[in-house]
Parts: sequence; structure tokens; C-alpha cells
Amino acid sequence: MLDALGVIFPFNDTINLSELNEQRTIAGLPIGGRYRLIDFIISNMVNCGINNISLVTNKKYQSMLNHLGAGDDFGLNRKGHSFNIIPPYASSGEISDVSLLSNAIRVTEKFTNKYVIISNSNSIYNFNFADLIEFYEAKNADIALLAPDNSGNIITNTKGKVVDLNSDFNFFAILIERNLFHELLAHAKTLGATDFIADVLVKNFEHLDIYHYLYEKFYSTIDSVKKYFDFNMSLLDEKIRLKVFENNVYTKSKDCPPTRYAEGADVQNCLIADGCFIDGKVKNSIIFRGVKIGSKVDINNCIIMQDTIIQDNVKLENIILDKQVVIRKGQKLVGQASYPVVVAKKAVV
Amino acid sequence: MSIECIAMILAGGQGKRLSGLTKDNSKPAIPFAGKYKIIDFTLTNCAHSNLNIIGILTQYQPLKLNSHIGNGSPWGYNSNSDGIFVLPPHSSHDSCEWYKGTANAIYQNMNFIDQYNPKYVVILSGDHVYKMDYSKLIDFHKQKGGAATIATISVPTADAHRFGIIEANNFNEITNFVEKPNIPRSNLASMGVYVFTTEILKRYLMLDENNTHSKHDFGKNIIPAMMQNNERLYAYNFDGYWKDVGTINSYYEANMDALNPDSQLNIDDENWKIYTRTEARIPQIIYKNAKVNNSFVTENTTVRGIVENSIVSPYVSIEPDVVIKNSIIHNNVIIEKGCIIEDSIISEGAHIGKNCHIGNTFVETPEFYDEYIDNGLTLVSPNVFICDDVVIGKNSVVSNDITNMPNDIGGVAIDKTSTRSSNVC
Repeated sequence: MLDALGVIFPFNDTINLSELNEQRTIAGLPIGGRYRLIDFIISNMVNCGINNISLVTNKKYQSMLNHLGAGDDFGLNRKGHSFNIIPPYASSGEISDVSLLSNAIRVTEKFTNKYVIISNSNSIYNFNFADLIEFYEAKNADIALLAPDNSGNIITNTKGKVVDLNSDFNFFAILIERNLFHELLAHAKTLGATDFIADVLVKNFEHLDIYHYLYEKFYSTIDSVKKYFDFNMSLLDEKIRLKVFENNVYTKSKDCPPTRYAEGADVQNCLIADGCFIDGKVKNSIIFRGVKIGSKVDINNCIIMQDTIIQDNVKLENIILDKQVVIRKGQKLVGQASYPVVVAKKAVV
Repeated sequence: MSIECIAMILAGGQGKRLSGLTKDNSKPAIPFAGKYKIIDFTLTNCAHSNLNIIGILTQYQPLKLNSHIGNGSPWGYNSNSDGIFVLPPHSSHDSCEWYKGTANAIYQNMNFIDQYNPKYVVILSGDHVYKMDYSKLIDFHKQKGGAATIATISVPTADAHRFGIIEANNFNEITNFVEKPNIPRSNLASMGVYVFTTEILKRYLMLDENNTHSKHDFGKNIIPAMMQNNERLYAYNFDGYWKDVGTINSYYEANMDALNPDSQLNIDDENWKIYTRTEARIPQIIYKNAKVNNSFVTENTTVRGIVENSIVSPYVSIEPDVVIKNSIIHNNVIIEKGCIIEDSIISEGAHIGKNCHIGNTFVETPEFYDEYIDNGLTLVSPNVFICDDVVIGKNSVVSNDITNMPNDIGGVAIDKTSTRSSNVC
């Protein structure tokens, strides 16, 4: 068990993934055949022994409530463990990072753990947070920043202390003492600050000892449709798959029957979830639960999300089909590998 | 506390006729149709029938069954108003004994039933494959007001001698019941699914307990005793799919029925989802050059070979140049390169070495013959290791590891071109 609370925060809610995040947060993106992006982050925390995890939400959090519930599927619905979804309290308008994070205090103040780990919600990485705590203590830091190599976006002095951050720097998580976290947020609120990174961290470089822990293993940060597409496709590579699934990744379980491969099925190089029916040709694709693929269908390089139906004689290439899409008989949709086409949830084509 | 009806599931039998399949597992916990266990059907029925309290009577090899059931959450039995309770044999103040029969198992758990003071008790088996709404059966029983109602199903006349055969009048009242008759007088078979009015059941269980000649069995003793005393018993006709998977053959057939999209079993039914315990598993991976047709494949399985008309469970590895036909592959099985598996059941944890041929039509392997398998199937028992180049014929059961080139086992045909076996084994 780690003496830390987990807080997952959508620092990147403004990223635009076309129709993919029109009705959901980035954290709720379906990924890898049966997961949502957030499953990787929560699972990683659970696997490290973080037993109390909160998800701060801003908008479009309905799918998160359905998917995560009380954290049963992550083993968090038990004594001494908890999973909380913290919705915004304000009723309308844009809500600042600082006020959203302040909402998290209502949960974090109930615990006695020494640390809080605030994780971003759009990266997939495998990391043991115990190493970050060790690093934090060794550096006698105020804040430890877990981030991959940022090609100069994180500027440190000779002692490794962070002295500046460029606005588009990429990080995974922040480790901070719980009391300091509460104090910084209270102070920021008093000053009317809005952006946690720019107003709370960057403006306080002189008062805070922030250290960068360099993450060097495999990761993927989903910040564009192309990145989303490529990450999914990379799971077809056994080497990458083994890295991504090095530890258990939990997700909501569903009562699907096994996948049925019918007479006309010709499936090669695919990742396929349970509950599908396949009677056509499917190559180099990621197929989510409950997808139905008719006969004489030709699918190549596609991501097909849950409960989508592909009728007979359809040809699809380089397409991302969101959930519950229906592609009618005889349709032909072709995108470019460099620019995959997204078909929105529940669309009928 | 009082509820109207509770369910007791008999899940303690050894299932001898399933041979190696039940070597270290009880019948209800044997994998079925890829991702299920046999008992999932009965538990799913209970869940869909709104039965809130379930007792499961276990005895033979219950460990896997216990861990499968856990707190009952996969079937929705973890709320504070309902529950699944595993009831193993236990010692009491003045006695200590195993369950002597199905009736005795219920008798020994009378205190469990009494806690809930139910008007009715449903008695079920943990080894049947079917989808049945018990609430209709219970309503029928209440409406008829008899001592017991037996669910029945029409069976082919040729098979009738294997069942408890019932004759009923136009009011569904049972006029005759014969367990496994030599000359069946009807084709209405008891499914082993009963509703009893609790007070009457208790009376007969006590009488039966004191009868030293009794086998303490519902079909053999309790029902005949009730018939003899002119209790009113009714037959409830069920017309869906139902199969008692008590033999290797019926187990195989039921699996193939699940695989058949036109079968009445229809495990894909959205309105009657089959619930089971699932783990965190990654999706199945179908590699380049694989070919999968008319088959079920489940999560966390990797396929690099050809799978035809077969069922593949989770955590299975099927290597390149493997051909699997008309077979059932259980969890955690490894099938190495170049194997041919036909008409076979490969049980949990088995490991088949390279270029083996299991279920070969053209060789006979009498040293693997088994009294419980005679229908052209071949069974590899759980956790068995078979080294490279071994050929096993039909009607065979491999119960122990084969770690050497089987020169000393007469009858096993050997691929004479191979010399690699000694390195591997």
C-alpha cells in the first residue's frame, strides 16, 4: 500500500479529437478493444497499491459514471478502498482548473495519507509510483513531476530543479504532500488564480522545489485522432502489447458471449473482444465488444467500437467507427492511414 | 425473516461418467462454451427468475466451484437482501457425515432452509444446460396447490430409459413416475427440477432419513414415496432446450449446440444473458495466417493456426500450423506448432507438444481406451503434458503425462521422421 491518494484530473480537456470526444471526455475514449483510456491510469494506480482514487470531472462525465460506478471492477469498492467521481459544483459556464481541483479537496481532506498523486488523464504508461515517492523524498522536493522526455519543454537548473515549463509540455502526474496541495489551492483560490500549472506551479518556482522524474519506458499520450489511431494499431505489435499489458488492466466487465466466427470469417492480425459476430474479411483492425460484421465485408486498418453493426458487402479502410454505428449494405468508406476518418456515435451510414 | 421461495442447487456429485474431466474439478465447474462454467446456466436462471436466496450443496472437489461462485456478484447476488451460500457437508452435535444422496444433502441443511422460512423450495441441479424461468414453474405450482411440481421435458423415446419417466393426466397431475424404466411408458422425462411445498418436503425428508433401505435420492426415493402416499404431484412441461451434461458425449453435444447458431440453446440471447465470473483479460488476438471459422474464441487467447467448428476458452495459445477441428479447448491450454486436434476435448492446463495428432482416425490406441468414452471423441485430462510427435486415436482418454517417445506404449503410432522428442521431453 502506498501512503498516497490518487486524483485523476483532466488537465487536457480542451484537446480536440473530432467526433471522438464530442460526447465524452478524453478519459472516456474507448481503446484497445475493450477498455476506456482511464482504465489504464486507474489500473496503474491500483497495481501500485493506491487504494483511494478520485476522478475529477468537468463536462460530459455521464459515460464515466456508467463505466466506473463505485470502482467495483477495479477492486476499489471494499473497506479501506474507495473510488469517487467528483463532478463540478458550479452549474454553468467555464469552470477553472483551480476550482475543479479544489472540489477534490472535499475528498482528499477526509483521509490521512501523506501524499496526493494528481495524474493526467490522457496518457498510457506503466509506472510504479513508489519510485516517485522515493525520488521525492530523496530530493526533499515540494513537488515531483513525472514526465517523459520533453525535448526542452521542461527547463531545469543544474541541480535538476524545474525552473520553467513551456506551455505545451507533456507530463503524466504530480506528486505533492497532501497538506501542501490543500494550502496551494486555498492560496490560489484567494488570489483568484484559474490555471493550476500556469498560476500555481509556474508562478511559484521560486518558492517551490519542483523536480522532474524522467519517465523512460513505453508510453503514449493521446492528443490527436492520429495518435489515438496509431496507439490502437500499435497493440497489434506483440512487443508493444506486452509492454502496455505488463500489469493487469482492469475494466468494466460485461456479460458477452464468446465471439462467433461464422463460415465466411477471414480474420487476420486483429485484436478482437468478446461478444462479436464476424462473417467477413477483417484485417489489421481493433474490434470492440458486441460488433457485428456481415458477410462479404472487407475491413482493413479500422477501429470499430462497441455494438457497431456492419451490414453485408461493406468495404472499410482506415476508418474509426464510434459506438453503435450502423454501416448499411454495400457502403464503401475509405480514409487515409495518415488521416483516418471518424464516424460519430450512433451514425447510420 | 421469511421469503416465499428459496433455491437449493445440488452441485456435489462426482460425475464419474465425465471421466478425466472431473479428475480435480466438480461437474458444475467444468468450462462450457468457451467462457462459462456449467453451473452458470442454473445460476443465471435463478437470477433471471428473481430467486433471492440460493444454497449450493457441494461435496466432490469443490475448490474451483467455490472460487467461481465467490460472493455471487457475477450473478447479482451480493446485495444485502439476497445471497448465494455454499453449503458443504458439516458435522453437527451428534453426527458427522457426508451427503449420502441428493435428499440427504437437503435434509442436512434443513436449518439453512428454516432460517428463511420459505413456503416453497426449488430443488435444482448444477449440471444442466438450459434457460428456464423458474418463476413460471413456481406460479404453476402455487396455482395447482400440490405437494410438489416436477419440471418435465419430452425426450426421444429411445433415450427415455435414461430418465425418470412421468405419466400425467389432462390436469397435469402425475399418475405414474418410474426412475429409469426398462420399458418407458411415456417420453415425458423429469428434468430433476422440482418445486416443493416446504412443509411437505420436510416431512418426507425426515421419513426418508429414518428409512435405512433408502438411497436418499429425490428421483429414487422421495418422489416415489410421495406417489405411494397419494400426494398430489404435478408435471410442468418445459419446451425449451435442456441437457443433462452427465457424460462426455452429452457434454460435447451441449457445447456444439451452443456453437450452432440455429440451436434452441442460443447463448447470444440479449434478453437472457448468461452470467459468469470474468477476469481482467485482454481481447483475443488473431494473428496473420490464422483462420477461424464456425467457432467460438474468447478473450486472452492467441490464435496463429486454423480453428474450425471448435470452441476455444480464454488463455489458450494456438501456435502456427496447428489445425483444430470439431474440438473443445479449455482454459490455459498450450498447443504447439504443427498439431492436429480433431473431435477432442483438451482440458484445462493441458500442454500439447509439437506435431502431435490427437483424435486421429487412422490409428488405434487401446491403452488409452476408457469405459466412459465410446463415441469417437478423445479427451486429454486437465494439466496433462504430451510431448512432441505423439499420436492418439479416437475413443481415448489421456490421463497422465506422456513424457517420452512412446515406444514402450504399444499401439501409439509414431511419426518416424521426427527425432526431436528427446530434447523436449
